[in-house]
Amino acid sequence: MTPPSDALKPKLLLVPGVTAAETAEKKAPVSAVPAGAKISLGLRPVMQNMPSFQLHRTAESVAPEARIELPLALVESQLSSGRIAIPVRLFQEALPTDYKELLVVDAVESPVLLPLQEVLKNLSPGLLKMRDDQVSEEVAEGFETPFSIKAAEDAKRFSERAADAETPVASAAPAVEAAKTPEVKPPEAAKAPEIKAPEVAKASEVKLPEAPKAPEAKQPELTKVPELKPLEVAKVTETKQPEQAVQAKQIEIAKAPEAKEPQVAKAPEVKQPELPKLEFKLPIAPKPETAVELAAPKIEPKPEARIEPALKLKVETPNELTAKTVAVPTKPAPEQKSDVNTNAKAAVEQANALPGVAASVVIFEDGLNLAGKLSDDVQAGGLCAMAPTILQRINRHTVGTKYGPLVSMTLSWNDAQLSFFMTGTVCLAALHSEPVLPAETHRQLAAKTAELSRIYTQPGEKHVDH
Amino acid sequence: MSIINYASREIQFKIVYYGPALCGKTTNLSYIHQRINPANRGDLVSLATAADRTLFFDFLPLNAVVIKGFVTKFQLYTVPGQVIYNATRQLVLRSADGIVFVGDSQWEKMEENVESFKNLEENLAKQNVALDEVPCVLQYNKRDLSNIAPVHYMEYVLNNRKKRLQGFEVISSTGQNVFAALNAVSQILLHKFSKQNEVPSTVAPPVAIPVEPTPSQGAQV
Repeated sequence: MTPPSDALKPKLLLVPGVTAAETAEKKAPVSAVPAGAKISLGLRPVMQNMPSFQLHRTAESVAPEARIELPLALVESQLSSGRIAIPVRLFQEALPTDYKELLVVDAVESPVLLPLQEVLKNLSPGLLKMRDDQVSEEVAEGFETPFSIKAAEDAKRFSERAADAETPVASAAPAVEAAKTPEVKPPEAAKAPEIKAPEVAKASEVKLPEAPKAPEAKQPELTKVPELKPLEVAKVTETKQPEQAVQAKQIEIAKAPEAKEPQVAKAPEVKQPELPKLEFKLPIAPKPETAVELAAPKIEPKPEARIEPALKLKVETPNELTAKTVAVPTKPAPEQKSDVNTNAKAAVEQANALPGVAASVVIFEDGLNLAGKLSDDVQAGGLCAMAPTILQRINRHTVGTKYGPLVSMTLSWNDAQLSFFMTGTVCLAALHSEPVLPAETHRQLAAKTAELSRIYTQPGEKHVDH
Repeated sequence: MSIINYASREIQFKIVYYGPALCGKTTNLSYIHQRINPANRGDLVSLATAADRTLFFDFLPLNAVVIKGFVTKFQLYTVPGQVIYNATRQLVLRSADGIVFVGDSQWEKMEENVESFKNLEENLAKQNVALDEVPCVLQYNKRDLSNIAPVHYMEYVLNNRKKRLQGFEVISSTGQNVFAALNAVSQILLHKFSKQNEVPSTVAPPVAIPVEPTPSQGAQV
């Protein structure tokens, strides 16, 4: 006699704070749609939204003025799901006679998905009614948070830009408006959504007390994982410039009348999206690593240096590395940052720029590719996925030796060489551009792997505070 | 659940950015990280794949102001939006003090928004928490794109519930209203916290001190 499996038990979730009455209310929503009511949609946009397997011809063959009427109740009941699907048979029936042969009913009778924008365009505004019994979140106005000042600064900055952009772009405004999706007026019954913009005026008044520098504030665990891509650093510096400029103008702004401020309910900057884009995307500086790589002379692999055996396994340990003679790198080494300010992508870029490295990839111990890619010609994806496991196995045996933990492993073929560096759970695979990696490159790749291993949390450690 | 450390006089709050895949959660955190004074923040840990998709979560610790003698620290997390990573989302969501739900404003993302919001409610329910109990705000992100749904429809889809949440039109790529949303959820959070916990301003809580047993007591033991 065994108890019934869990699969047979009813899946019930008890949600605290939700009463039975409320649940029942959810299940039986009161529909405001009169029986038999229809919604008329433009047939062409509906057909354009359909996949090609549901159409005999292209949707362009549908006359622009052609329309289709569908049961409103069916549409209304799905409005809140963000997806409106009509049974294909029903849709077929509703199609005008001229276009019935246009529709293909497949074997599984896939439903027809209606384009939301077309539905909303033709929908009575009253149908998007919000609940009457809604209660708003208890907002603690004036409650200081560490982010109040930044929020106020941003609001000022963006509203000022929007105001500045309004005047010169006045002639272009209609085009922008036309390009937008047709705006559907909010239902009258449902008041305009309360999109609250942060109060600008607070910024000048508010002064947050500075946090005392407690000894614990250093957060030692954070030192493990510092990360900023070089690209992001560039962004930071660039964003700060306009911000400072805005701050310099703040006195004037404060005196100016607030007539330019757009609707209170909406965030003021919504209609001017292109401005912020320009600010962030234009000034991206070329990556230094790329420049180095381009300028570097190409090193041709020496044929005589190739190792003849089909596959040679070479395992190196730290002591072995230090004992090696150092080959002079012909390619300038990329700029190495002293801090751990890098991530997998940056590490790959830096590794690729090292002399003797053709391409590299960072892999987790489970074989998941984190960043980088070897050439498709090599087809070494499977090998790279398996390599961490092999390295870990070998390492188990080398830990007990006088050489200490394993640093790298090189696989050699007649035409290619691939080195794997592993520390902790992170493995870096480097495809050689020359038969033997320069010692300095080898050292830097090993260091880079160790650095990545410190950045990425080990699986045994806790990810989340509980 | 906020963590209060009376010894170091610290309060830690955990805010989770939740939403469908590629809706801009990591972009939110990146912007916040850029704008916060480096002295007050830790490093942004982002475990992203080569395709810039969050693999596990992003984590940004922030040291902040003093409230009634306690240093408040905020930990900002994101979750992986992909449907298959629900276990990770549940883990990250555990003990969250506040939630910023990031919705994607594009028409074709409406269904994903709804699914993700439902998933949020379900995952909270599995922890015996109702969404109404957790400070939460909504972000309608990517308002700079052309193929976006009007806000009132997004409100209807995501916010047509008993307890109406604050909503913000956001462009996380530029930072527009990113801090406004974070500020709002923090306000609700701190307000709720101050109501629930009367933090002692000066007097430290009693500390149990082990009493050394007298020789006779020791003999009895």
